[in-house]
Amino acid sequence: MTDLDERILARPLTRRVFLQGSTMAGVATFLAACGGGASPSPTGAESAAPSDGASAEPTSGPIEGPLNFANWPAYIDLTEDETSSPTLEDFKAKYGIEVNYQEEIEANEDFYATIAPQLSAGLDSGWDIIVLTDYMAARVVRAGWVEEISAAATPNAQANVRDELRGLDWDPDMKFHFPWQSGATGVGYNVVSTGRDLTKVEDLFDPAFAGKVTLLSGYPDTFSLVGLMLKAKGEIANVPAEMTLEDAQVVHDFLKPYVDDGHIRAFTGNEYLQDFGSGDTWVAFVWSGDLASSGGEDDRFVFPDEGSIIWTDNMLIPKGAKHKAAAEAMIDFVYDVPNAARLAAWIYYISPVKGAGEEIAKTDEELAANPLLFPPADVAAKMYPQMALADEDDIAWADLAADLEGA
Amino acid sequence: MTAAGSNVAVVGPTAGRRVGAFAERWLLKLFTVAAIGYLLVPILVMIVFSFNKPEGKFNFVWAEFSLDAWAAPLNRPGLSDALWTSILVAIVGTFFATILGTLIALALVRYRFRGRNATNLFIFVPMATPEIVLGASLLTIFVSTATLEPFKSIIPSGIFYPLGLPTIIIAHVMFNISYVVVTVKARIQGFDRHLEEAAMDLGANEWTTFWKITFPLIRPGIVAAALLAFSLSIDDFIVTNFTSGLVNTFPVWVWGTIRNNLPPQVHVIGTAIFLIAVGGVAIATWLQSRGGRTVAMRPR
Amino acid sequence: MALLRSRRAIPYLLMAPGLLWLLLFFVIPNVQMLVFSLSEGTLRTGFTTPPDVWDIENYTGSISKFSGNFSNSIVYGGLATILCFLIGYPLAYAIAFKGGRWKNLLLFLVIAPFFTSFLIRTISWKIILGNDGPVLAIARDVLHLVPANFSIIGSPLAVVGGLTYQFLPFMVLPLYVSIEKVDRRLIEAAQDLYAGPWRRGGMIAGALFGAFALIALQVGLGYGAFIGEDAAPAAVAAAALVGALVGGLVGAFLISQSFIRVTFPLSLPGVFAASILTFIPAIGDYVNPQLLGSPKTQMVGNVIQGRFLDQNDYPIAAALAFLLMAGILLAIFLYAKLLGTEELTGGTA
Repeated sequence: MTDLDERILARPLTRRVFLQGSTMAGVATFLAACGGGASPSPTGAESAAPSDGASAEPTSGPIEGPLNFANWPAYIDLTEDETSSPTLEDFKAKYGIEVNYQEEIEANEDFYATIAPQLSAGLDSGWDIIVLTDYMAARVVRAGWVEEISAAATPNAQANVRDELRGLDWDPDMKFHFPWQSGATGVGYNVVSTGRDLTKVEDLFDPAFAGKVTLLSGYPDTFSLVGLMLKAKGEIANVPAEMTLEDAQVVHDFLKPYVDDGHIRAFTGNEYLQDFGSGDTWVAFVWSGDLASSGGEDDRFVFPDEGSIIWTDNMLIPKGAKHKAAAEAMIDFVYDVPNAARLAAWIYYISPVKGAGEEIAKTDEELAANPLLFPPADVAAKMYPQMALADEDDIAWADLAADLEGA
Repeated sequence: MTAAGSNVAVVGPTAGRRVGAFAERWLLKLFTVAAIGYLLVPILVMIVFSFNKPEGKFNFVWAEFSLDAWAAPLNRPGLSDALWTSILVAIVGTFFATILGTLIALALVRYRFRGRNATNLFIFVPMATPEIVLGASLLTIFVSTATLEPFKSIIPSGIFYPLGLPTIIIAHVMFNISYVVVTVKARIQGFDRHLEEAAMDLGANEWTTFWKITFPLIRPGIVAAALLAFSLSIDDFIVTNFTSGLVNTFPVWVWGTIRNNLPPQVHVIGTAIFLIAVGGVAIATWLQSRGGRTVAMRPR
Repeated sequence: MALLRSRRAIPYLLMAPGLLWLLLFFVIPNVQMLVFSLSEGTLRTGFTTPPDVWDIENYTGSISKFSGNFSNSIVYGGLATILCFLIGYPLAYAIAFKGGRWKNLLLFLVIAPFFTSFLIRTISWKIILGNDGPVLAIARDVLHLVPANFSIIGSPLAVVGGLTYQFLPFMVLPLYVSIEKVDRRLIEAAQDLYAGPWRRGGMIAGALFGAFALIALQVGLGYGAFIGEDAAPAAVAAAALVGALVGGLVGAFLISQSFIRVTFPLSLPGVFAASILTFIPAIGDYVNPQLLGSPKTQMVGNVIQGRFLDQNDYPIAAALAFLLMAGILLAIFLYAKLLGTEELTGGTA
């Protein structure tokens, strides 16, 4: 731990500081790398070496189970009959420990509420690995609620994480987090129900789909995407990461009539998959890989013309985790290139692991060209990070979202 | 229609009255069948869909008949653990809630004492509290037992925190006590105190009277309360979600699963629980018919 | 004396373990919630608690800010209770008086829904009422009554229907117990005293209920919005007419004077207990509006849940929870006064 890190962690969080760093900085390069598809990426020799000596790391003890792993739904590879996960099975076999893998996380805020009381009291949350989206991961790291990840125990991860994902201001040296997957938020639809292909965010507001539309709960995804649409129409000036509270109010005022007349039926988390399954949702804001991995044959995902939202979900080891060594072993395991490729190929998200693309291309050319895993350059050029707000702004924005959601 | 059971005046011979007689005879029956049907439709859907072989990941639309899910009912990661946890929690929780609640009910009906009305009212408050408040407030307290004095030094660690089986059971007993009290009270209120007095007159002491007379008489009420507690417990999601920590019960597992897939196994387990419950009730009814017939539900 | 004193202690001893349990795991946690309800801040920013701050604003502000949710709760909870009563009373009556040897079976069928997970039951309703389900398949694809994007899921009716279904057994069981207790000899006596059918009253009552029910159904579905503003009044009138006709006929032939004068008054304590047991969980529910409703149909429970879980805003959530509890207790109290019963705790439940 260097002085620099401590200064950053201790520094009061202002909106400006937050924006300058994390989500903005790496994005352009990250997208460029993603956009290249299966093009060779640098081996990362120069950046892979941990900057400070690994010898100073605290030892993590023997690898013991069970590893308690909380993740989002539809975020792990499965066997053909969907009863087990090859990645988890291989991990268990390699280390001889049990893995208690639970799809507990449906929304960042909900999950935060179930662990915050424990972590703020300095207690073990019970989980050894949790997976949170950038803005929430930053919040938890800044609160000091995470264990430092031993560099010595995670050589694969240190070497293979994509360069664009390094150097975030809330964890510049990757001491506390490693990305699980990145993904986009865009428009999902059932092509049979809609009767046509959709291309834009604006298509959600077609009167023909009244009552069959759902958006995502909370403001980070929904306000960003609608903000992009309104920006395309010239009604607001800023990209999502720079949107002001006034812009948020414009988004709110635009959506409110659609909520009031029932055009928008619900604000959901991951459970939009269920509504696509039952046919009650025709069009929705969805996360990029979900419909491909868990949707029906007629469900489509599109990166909207106005732009899409890019985010990264990050693995963290909560403070006081009982099986820290096992957690580090898991982090390292999924950064092993063949494992990463297998995972990405199943769940259709963007792998944070260098070389996963080439690995996939070796066996499946078609998948290697899949825009969900490797967004093409024109899509990548229009991908924007979410806003990352300071606490006082967060409350005001959350209030606007809550007003739309009716609760 | 015999006069004894009928609530409607004897009908005369005119045509209007014949329609009336017809209506009185069939409308109510028809209505009863319809209302029962309304109650059972979702259960039938559940049973039918347990034999479905859905095309996608969601068992929402009928595709084709299949026994696959029944052949491998527990073939889902985490399902069997969750199911056993649910059953264990329900049995242990019901046991304690029934005892604690029955004792309160006995005190409330059988004794006149200071604070009785207040207690009567107080019993209602947990039932009037939104489940989410029960859950969230319990979580706060459980967490503080591990961090705050004086709790920290009084309570041995590992009971309330980390969360797990004991905390789920504590929560279930808590929200079930009131339901048990209300149910058992109704039964005790309905019964004839003279029987006890007779036993006492015949020389039985209070203890003997309780076990030989009172307990058999209120047993149907206790059985009913236990059944209610069991069904509330095995079905609870909201409070459990806050107090379960890393442990899954069946509803918590279902809630987690249905976000990204709804396998027919969910319907199979639902059907199985239903059938087991039906069996349990059949046994309870049989016990009741042995033990409870003598207690007339009479107007007070 | 000592004996007397120890006998006095018996009820307290009997209650001690249970009340201790409630004290530890209900009262103390709720005192904590009470403290939160007067505090400021969120889980994330930390709380400022009494005595440093007494934030009454959490209460006063919440009432106006969430008035829509409060009225949803009262309206849906009340409607569900009324519907449960309209369905539950005849059902309980039929089981108690006409059940015969089927009585036990019928009673069992009433509580049967309790034996399936409520999540699975709600999933079943989503199958039945859903876009690809049988109800819309008939109404939309066969009868062409509704347009292609018509939804039942998301309407207030779906929420009220869900609540009604969910809590119907809570209504039927206490009603059954109290109706069953009614002394048949009193009814015979009434009939001997020339209590006959109650044609006119029954017809009027039935007609009113029938018309009300069908209009509520239409409005609840938001049907008017789909067929256009012009046609809406005609549709409502038609619904009222049909409802009144059917209801009137049913009322005229099924309700007798002995029922109005004897059975119903004697079953009132059961009506009281049953409607309270139905109303309390219905008004506090948040799962039905979430799964079957839309943003416009969210109830107070949803706000509480959202504030707790999504925004970690414990003060507002706790204040709302106490407002809800206070409202429920007040409603019970007023209702008890109104019906003149002292069975405040629903003794016949």
